[in-house]
Amino acid sequence: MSSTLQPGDSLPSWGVASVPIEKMKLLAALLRDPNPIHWSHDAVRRDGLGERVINQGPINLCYVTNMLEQFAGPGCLRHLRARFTSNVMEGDEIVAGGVVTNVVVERGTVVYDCDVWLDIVGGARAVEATVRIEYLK
Amino acid sequence: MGIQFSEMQDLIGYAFPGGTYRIESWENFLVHDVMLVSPGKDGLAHPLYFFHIPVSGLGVTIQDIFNLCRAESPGAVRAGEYVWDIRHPLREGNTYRVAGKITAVERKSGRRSGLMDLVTFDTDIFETDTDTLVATVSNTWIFLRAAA
Repeated sequence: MSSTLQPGDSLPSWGVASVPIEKMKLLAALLRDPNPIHWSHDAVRRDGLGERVINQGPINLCYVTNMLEQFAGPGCLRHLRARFTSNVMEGDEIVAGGVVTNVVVERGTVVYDCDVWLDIVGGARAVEATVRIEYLK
Repeated sequence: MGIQFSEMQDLIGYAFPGGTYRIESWENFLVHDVMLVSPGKDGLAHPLYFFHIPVSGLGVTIQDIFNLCRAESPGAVRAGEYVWDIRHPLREGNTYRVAGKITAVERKSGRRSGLMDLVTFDTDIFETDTDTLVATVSNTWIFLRAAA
């Protein structure tokens, strides 16, 4: 199956209604990440970061890759350049989106360049990135 | 006395011990669970491993990197820019060899966060069975400096 998106077209969005603290704790354990702002309310209060713990940057970024793989299939990512522009907190509603900026066909495979992002609903943009993906569906 | 920028610049070129990392099926399942999606039946690893392996496969822990870069506290570290060039997706059951070093250190002053050091780690990920380069990953971490 081929995709028919063109430059300027939007990618199907992917979102989370409420970012869960339990997943932050699980990733901290898997990565042996000692940063308490991901699992301790006392730590975020002490650091003046508010009342809610802060999602790990790699999780925020990979909400975007979830959106890309939903569209183009697992293993679609070829290049990514991303920067983190705002924190995502526990309980935030987030939505990942993007727009196609270029389309080429390489060896019979559709390859998209896209501007993508992660937004906090009612809040700031948390991640901005450019990506190149292969359409694998 | 804070951390002098010259001390941080001395880190440029620092090569990590390097090592290998095997993506276990159970861990890939849990990483997908973190990301609120189900693993496929094709054995592909979640892209979050492009953050995980460049740390865990280098023979260090996140705390080691905090210590090396003289983080003032674990809470004074933020994610900076990530650049991933991927030739092949990662797969569970595969073992990857990782080589990496610090390639850049930059000091900046931000309006909200104040003084900070941006440290960039470049890593190459190879599939061990074939010695094939799978991906190059450049991750920049931000170390906030209360006083320097």
